[in-house]
Amino acid sequence: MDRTLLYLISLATIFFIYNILSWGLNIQFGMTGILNFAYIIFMAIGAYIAGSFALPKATEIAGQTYVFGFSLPFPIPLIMGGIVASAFGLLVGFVALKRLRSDYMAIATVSVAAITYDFIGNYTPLFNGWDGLAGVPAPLQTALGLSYSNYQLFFLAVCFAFMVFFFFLTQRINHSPFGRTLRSIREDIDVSEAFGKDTFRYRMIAMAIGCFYAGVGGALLIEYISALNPGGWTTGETFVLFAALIIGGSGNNWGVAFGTLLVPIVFQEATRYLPQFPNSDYIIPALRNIIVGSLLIITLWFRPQGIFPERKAEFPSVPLAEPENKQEEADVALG
Amino acid sequence: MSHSVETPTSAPPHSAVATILRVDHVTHAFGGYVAINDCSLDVHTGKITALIGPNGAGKSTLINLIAGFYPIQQGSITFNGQSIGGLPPYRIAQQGLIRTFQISRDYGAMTVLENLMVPPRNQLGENLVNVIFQPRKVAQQEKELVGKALEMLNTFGLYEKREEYARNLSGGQKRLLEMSRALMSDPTLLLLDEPMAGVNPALAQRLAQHILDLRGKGLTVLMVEHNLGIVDQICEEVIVMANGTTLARGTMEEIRAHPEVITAYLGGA
Repeated sequence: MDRTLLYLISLATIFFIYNILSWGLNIQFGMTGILNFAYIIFMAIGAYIAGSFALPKATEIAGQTYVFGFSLPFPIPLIMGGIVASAFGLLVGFVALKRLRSDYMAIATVSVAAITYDFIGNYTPLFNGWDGLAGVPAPLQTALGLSYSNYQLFFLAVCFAFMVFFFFLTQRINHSPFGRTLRSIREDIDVSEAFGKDTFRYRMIAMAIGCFYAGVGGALLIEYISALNPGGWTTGETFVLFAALIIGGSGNNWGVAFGTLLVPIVFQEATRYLPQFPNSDYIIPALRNIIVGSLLIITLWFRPQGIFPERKAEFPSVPLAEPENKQEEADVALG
Repeated sequence: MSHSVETPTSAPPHSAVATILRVDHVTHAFGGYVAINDCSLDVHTGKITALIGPNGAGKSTLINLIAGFYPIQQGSITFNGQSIGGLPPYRIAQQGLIRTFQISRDYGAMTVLENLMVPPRNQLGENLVNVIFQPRKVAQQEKELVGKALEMLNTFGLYEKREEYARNLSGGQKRLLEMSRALMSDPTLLLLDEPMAGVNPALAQRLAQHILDLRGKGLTVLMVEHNLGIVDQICEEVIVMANGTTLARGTMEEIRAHPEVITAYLGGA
């Protein structure tokens, strides 16, 4: 297989994984209105848990220190990554959602992100500090005995399957009465509370589900690229996902996928190997940020609902028992 | 049925009348400012009761206390014989005590029909386990609720607007939406916080008729209202508040003749 094709396969793999991350954030931010600026932390937790569960004991690999090291086969590390990220999401949610409303909650999550980042970076025995985990075994690679390029295709298919599963799950949530209640909380939390909705509970569930997505996405990412260090999950990465949501159309899972294709894939990943400008290595990364930032501003200015806005809810058509009340219609027109 | 003007703290004169809501010696202060001061009142089952009084009398604060939006500091509130003081708003709402807001608060980015689909209580599909494992039951209930919501919209003259975003409705239509949406939760007691605010006289008449129809269906209504003409027209009982406490109670006619009420409204000492 030629190199271009392999490169496109790797971009597609990352795109599929990033979709899972974006949809998880969409459940929290797009549907429920939770401003979780620590979202990427849950991706990292999922990745580290999956990585350290899949790796053998730390003593067997020189130069790395980490906890666990269970050598567990795929997909157990991945599922554990999702579950632990979700549990951590509930913990953060309990602190941030119990008493705080949107803006203060956002500040709290930024703090959580900073604390977690510095803690994992500095406490080397946990996940090998700033060097991060490396050498995470590729799922089922030895068992399948595929060639390098065939394995790339296999992993692409695995990620596609996960993406499709999470897509249908997200759509199901979105179109259910549960999703409707989440949207109502986003629109006006007091009113939903006044209608007997336990808004704290709903937001906690949204937090847990979204963080599960983040954890599974992170697990797939570390299993694909076999390594992760804190440089790969700085707070800026959260904003890349937020940019994808806002540009694509938060609340609309198709729009979010389009935004994910545009921002993290086309602008962040695909520009990585463009030929450099002579005598200046920094122009392309700088241009990348300028373009994404400008796109965000242009979207918010001209099309704040995103390129593909959230769709109106659809309901089964039920005929009226009595004919339409035309008289009242006319009165409303007056009012 | 005759009403006499009396001190509202005393027992209701007609022992045959059931009390659905009792506010008992409630005091609430914001810092040093006492907004509700030893306030007591009863709301009788099946009646439309108005809560009137000059601005700053504490009417909205009292509504917020009853609905659980402010924590109760002193006194007690009982609904259907059960104490609801200290419960979070959603627990109070789940018992059938539903409030509306002084300013219309629609779910702007949701359609009118979807707005009405939020309030029904005990929706199977609000539990994700049911959504995934019992999609048919969820869909069945959803269809029943859509039917109910469409009938409600038809009654309130919003049927044609069902696919419209709620934020695009006019002020008057938002009032109708607010009331019809609250009814979707099948309340036993409806607290209306100024349902006629900013509404033209023709629409006010229609809202008044809707409220009367509700009483016919066995609903109890407690409404804060400044439009005394409407109060006179539809409310059987009127409670007057001033300076954070109840001043008088009776029919509108009796209230009009009450010297303390006149003083309070005219801003006397």
